[in-house]
Amino acid sequence: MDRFKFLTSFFPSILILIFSSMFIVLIYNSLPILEREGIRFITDSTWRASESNPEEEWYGIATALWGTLYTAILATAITLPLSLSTAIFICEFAPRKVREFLAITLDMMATLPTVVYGVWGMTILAPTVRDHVIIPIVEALGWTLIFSEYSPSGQCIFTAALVLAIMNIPYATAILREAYTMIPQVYREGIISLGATRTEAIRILLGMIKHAIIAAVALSFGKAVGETTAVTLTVGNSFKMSLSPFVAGYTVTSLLVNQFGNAYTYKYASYALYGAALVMLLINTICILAGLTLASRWAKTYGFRT
Amino acid sequence: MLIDSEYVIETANLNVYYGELKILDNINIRIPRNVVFAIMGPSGSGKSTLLRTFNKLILLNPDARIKGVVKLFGKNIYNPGYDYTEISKVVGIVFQTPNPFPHLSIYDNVALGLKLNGIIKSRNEMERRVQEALEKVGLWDEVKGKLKMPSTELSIGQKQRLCIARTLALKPKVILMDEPTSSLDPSNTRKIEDLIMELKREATVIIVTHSPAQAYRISDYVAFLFSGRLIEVGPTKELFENPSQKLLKDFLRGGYG
Amino acid sequence: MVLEHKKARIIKDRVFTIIIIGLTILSILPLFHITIEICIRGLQAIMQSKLDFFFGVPSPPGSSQLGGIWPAIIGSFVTVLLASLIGIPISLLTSIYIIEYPKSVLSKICDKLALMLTEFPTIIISLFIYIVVVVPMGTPSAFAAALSLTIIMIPYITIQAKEALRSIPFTYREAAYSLGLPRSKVIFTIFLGIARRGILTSILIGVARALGDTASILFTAGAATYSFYGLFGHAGAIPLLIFKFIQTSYENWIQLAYGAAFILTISTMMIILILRLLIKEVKL
Repeated sequence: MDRFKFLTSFFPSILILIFSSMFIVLIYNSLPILEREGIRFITDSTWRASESNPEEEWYGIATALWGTLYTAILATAITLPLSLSTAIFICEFAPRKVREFLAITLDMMATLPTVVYGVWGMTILAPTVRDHVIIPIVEALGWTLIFSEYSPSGQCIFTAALVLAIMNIPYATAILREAYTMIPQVYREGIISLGATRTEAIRILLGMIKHAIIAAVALSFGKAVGETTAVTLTVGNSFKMSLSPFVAGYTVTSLLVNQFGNAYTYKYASYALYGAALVMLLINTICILAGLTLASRWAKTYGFRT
Repeated sequence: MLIDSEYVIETANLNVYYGELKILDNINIRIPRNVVFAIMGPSGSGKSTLLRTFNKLILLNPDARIKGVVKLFGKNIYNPGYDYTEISKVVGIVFQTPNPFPHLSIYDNVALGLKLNGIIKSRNEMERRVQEALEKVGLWDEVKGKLKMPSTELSIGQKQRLCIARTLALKPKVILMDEPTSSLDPSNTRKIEDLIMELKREATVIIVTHSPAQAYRISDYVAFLFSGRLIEVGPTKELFENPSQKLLKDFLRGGYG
Repeated sequence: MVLEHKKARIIKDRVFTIIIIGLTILSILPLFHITIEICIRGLQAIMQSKLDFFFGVPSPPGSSQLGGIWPAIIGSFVTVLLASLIGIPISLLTSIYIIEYPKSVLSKICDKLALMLTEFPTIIISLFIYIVVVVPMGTPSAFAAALSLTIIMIPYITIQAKEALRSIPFTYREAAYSLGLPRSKVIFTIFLGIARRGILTSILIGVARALGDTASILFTAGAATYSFYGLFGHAGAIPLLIFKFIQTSYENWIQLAYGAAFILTISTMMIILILRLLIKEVKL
């Protein structure tokens, strides 16, 4: 029996090996830039490649980080109410056939390739957002500094956030649904027997799954930080750092896509990109880990096996 | 493995724990050859656990701890050297809910033990053994035309007889049965009980049951378990007519479960 | 007073319900819009080239013809196939290990790890394979792309297969061991047989992910627009083609991108429908 265990243990080890190797390779390839620039790597927004003089190269990823965080926060803010509503609808209101229909629909949303989301975002959503959201707002509020300019193509932080939000709805909904249905029936019965309306009951029950809500937020945020294809096609890819969500920007992931091609013609550019990837990975990993841990710990409170 | 011993199964100071919980408390039991031996008691008394110590299946539960001795034909099977392959040639088991493997045909279900133990090499011999086993349980005429059909197509009574055939194919000397008729209707129950009476000619049948009526009907010896302890054991007629322990008296009068 | 208060609660209840329903519809509306738009534009493109769309190569940029996406199709096929051949055994054996030895440290780590890896940024995988495979080889290749896709597939298959194996009723394990089967036979002959629908499901999920992923092969597949260059040469892939072509300003290439997006979307949906059929029909 031990021989079987020994032989098969090879395979889970591969998984661990791959994962740790990815981190190690990233760290190794980021060291040069971190040594050279230190903390300014994260705080500076200058991105200066130089063909002639390597000493003049300076790479600050603040712009990209700003874009990543901005899009992720906006996306999560949009995802939360939508996925919460969908979860509640499925659990409390939907008859069986509708529930099945929604389940298949959400499955499709979750499996649809990100590049398709990106194409739709870039060619259809962006112009629509520009014409029906951005331009009206800029016309009305253009006198404020924030809304004075916008991206002519419609590709901007806001559009990217919108696409990210839609992409994350299925996963967030699944987490919330699972948590909601795990609430023991006795609580629901107790609340109803006190004469609560359905709305009031739902509010109270939601209060019981706070952990799951936080987990859904953390996971959506993490996923938004790590998404590449859809974001690259919709965020505009410009080195602009602005408070306005209607201006094109960069995220770490889209920066990687756009700058990797010619990174090796410069001396330090590739290290900078690996460094950026590392920072992004850390944010993503921490959020995902936090979300997953929260979600499973919540389940233990009610005594259910995860 | 087969050493001539008076008793088929002997336990000495058998204690079984699931984690910290004690399930069986100091069981000392001796089961003779070629009888039907019933283990009787209310639910939760540890009957199924006890049964599973006889073929080491209890160890499939990672939290289970065994203290004490269980001898199969004189040898303590909890000593190193007795793995499932060895034990399965001597002890077979039938479960409460019929569990023929759903992805295998009727034929393959019965032949599985033979095939994978490498006992039988030739195709003809294999077919003969399968037919023999199916005949013994009275299924042969019902299924002989559809041996390749998936086992899921059978009725529940047929499934249970198929499971018995699956065990009989290995020609075990001991057949363990864990409430084999609780999922079945009276007519199928009757069929299985008749089969058990036949089987004891060639093997020892140890049957767990929660029904005193069943124990009375088919067993030669009966052991009464309560809360993990062996309360009384002896020849069936004697125990039923003159139970000495109060717990057993109450159980027979229908006081529990 | 009390009656008015009650009325207010009921009104709140109705309003809340309407909001919930509205937001739910809003959540799923985009999918339908995306599907319809992509289908319309994609079908238009495919109608232009008809059969040539599948078997021809892209026409030069800016030309009035579309051509086809054959190099991308073959590229996707080869890379996903190779990824599956490597990834499926690794995943299945990992999930088997996790199920059989749940108390071991390796199992506990891998269980958590697999879950985390499903949400891993796929661009990182691309960077990793670039350093580890593409640079030593000197060129991007179908092989490197396949390795990227393997890393994507493994967590998905592992998790699904693990669930499939876990749901096998304990009584089958008892029956199998009681017949004297050794552990390897219990797993490979009995368990994989009983859980085969769930395992097939897991494989389909992994394949669907690999088929659609762009970021992980961005730097590892290379740029093979007009041909297939073998296992160790540049390779195309359907999502890569979509990603690249849609960003160009050439009308015919943009059309090709739509057509390819349509194919990708339809394939994904078919896989989902097959999955739903499989899972519904578990005969245990």
